[in-house]
Amino acid sequence: MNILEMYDVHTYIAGFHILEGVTLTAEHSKLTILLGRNGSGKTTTIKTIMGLTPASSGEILFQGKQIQRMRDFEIPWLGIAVVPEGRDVFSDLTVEENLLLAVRKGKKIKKQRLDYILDIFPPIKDLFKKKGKNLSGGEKQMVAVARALVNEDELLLIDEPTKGLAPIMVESMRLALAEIKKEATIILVEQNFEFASSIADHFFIMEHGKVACSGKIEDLVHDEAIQRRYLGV
Amino acid sequence: MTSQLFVNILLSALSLGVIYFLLSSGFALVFSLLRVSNFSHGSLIMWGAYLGVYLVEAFSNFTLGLVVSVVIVGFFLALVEYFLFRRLYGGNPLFELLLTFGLIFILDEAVKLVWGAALIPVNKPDFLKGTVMIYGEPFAVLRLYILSLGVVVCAGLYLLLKKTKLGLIITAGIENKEMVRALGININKVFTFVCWLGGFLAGLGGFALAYFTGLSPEMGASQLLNVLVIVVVGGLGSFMGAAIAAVIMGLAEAFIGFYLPEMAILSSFIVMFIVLGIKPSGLLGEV
Repeated sequence: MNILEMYDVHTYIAGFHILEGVTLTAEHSKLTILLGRNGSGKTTTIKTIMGLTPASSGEILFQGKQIQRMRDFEIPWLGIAVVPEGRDVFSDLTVEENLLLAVRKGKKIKKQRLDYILDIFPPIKDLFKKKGKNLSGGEKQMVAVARALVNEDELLLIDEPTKGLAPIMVESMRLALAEIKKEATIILVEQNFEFASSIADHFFIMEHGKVACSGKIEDLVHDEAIQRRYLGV
Repeated sequence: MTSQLFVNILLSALSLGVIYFLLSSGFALVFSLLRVSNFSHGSLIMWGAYLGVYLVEAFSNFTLGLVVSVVIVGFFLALVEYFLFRRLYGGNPLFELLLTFGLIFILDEAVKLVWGAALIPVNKPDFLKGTVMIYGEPFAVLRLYILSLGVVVCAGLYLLLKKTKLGLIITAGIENKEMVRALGININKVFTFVCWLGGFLAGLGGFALAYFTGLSPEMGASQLLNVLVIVVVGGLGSFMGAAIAAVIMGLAEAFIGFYLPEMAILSSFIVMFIVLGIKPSGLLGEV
């Protein structure tokens, strides 16, 4: 069963045609990865799903329901959370406040949910009172992912979680995502092919605002011709 | 200078600083979240003054007149946000300039239509008349009243911004609106609220000012200049910076006014000259 489907989605940003007919699907409870070079439209795909750069045509279905006409702030309420490329942890808020701001129902993070988050990212416990601007890059990334876990959303869109991280942080992010994957469907944008291939189930390779090829990750791992052609591995 | 005199000037300076804080905080708040330079802020201050004084007399009740008038001025700016500002976000800032300047003409002429162009002296209610002795020197009750009003407003704003979810949204929205929306928050509603609050603060500042200066149809324009100087000294976009700048302006005006009375009128520009000379982005400005 597919949790998300996109059919021939076009998106313009400031007059530029960025997505030129994206068609892709993400299977429920799997980790789907978007690969492709810089500027191929991966981040715009994520932003278009979230309604932040709305699609000008095409269809986006979440659990079978059309969402491409919904307003950006309505989309998270369907059960979709995003970890944006720039992490976007609020610098004047503490880590705790960053997490609280994400809570949609009620005023606090449920105890059980907080335990789950701290289980995945133990270091966050000691960062609670620290302001966003005083966090390291790796800490910001943890907080950004943790913030997307606050509401038990079914679909997580995660944009380049390993960008600029030290190898040891990349490894702990891999373990975290492997854990999160047990409970939620993930669509991941990633440039690091080795990282991607170690946790993904399905892949879509984007080029010039379209999907160039897709399939099961095992097939890509063994197909060096495609890796060279689209990823420059 | 005796220490009594020093304390007296200091208290006067602080009450002046509080008025400046009330006058400029609404502008700073609206600018920092919406990035709209609301040049009609001075005219809202004037409306707060005229409407407040009028309603206090109409109701024969100081508190009721105060509350009703500032709430109305707040609603006015909220309506302006909802019907006008909202169409201009992300567009050419020149349109905002034209719009808010247009509002100045409408609001200022409306004051003259309703209350005339002459200066109107304002009678203080009995409980604001007279002086109390503080540290052996007489001190006007009115100034004490303004001081406590400022402390209450400052504490209220602090609690709102730091201790409520709405405050978290405002702080987060100042930095990154897109991420706030990506968390499922309708930040447009928060914009409307912040404009209401901005109008409320302008009205309150104007109301307080009226009991010092009386009413004049020129007060909007002259206060706009004060507000702009304070906001620039504080650092554009920094609400805290504006609050600190307001207090510094009050201190400078009172102390320069005491030692060099002929320079008092220039005091805010002297402060601006010094602060921007050392830090061109203003006290807490980052740009």
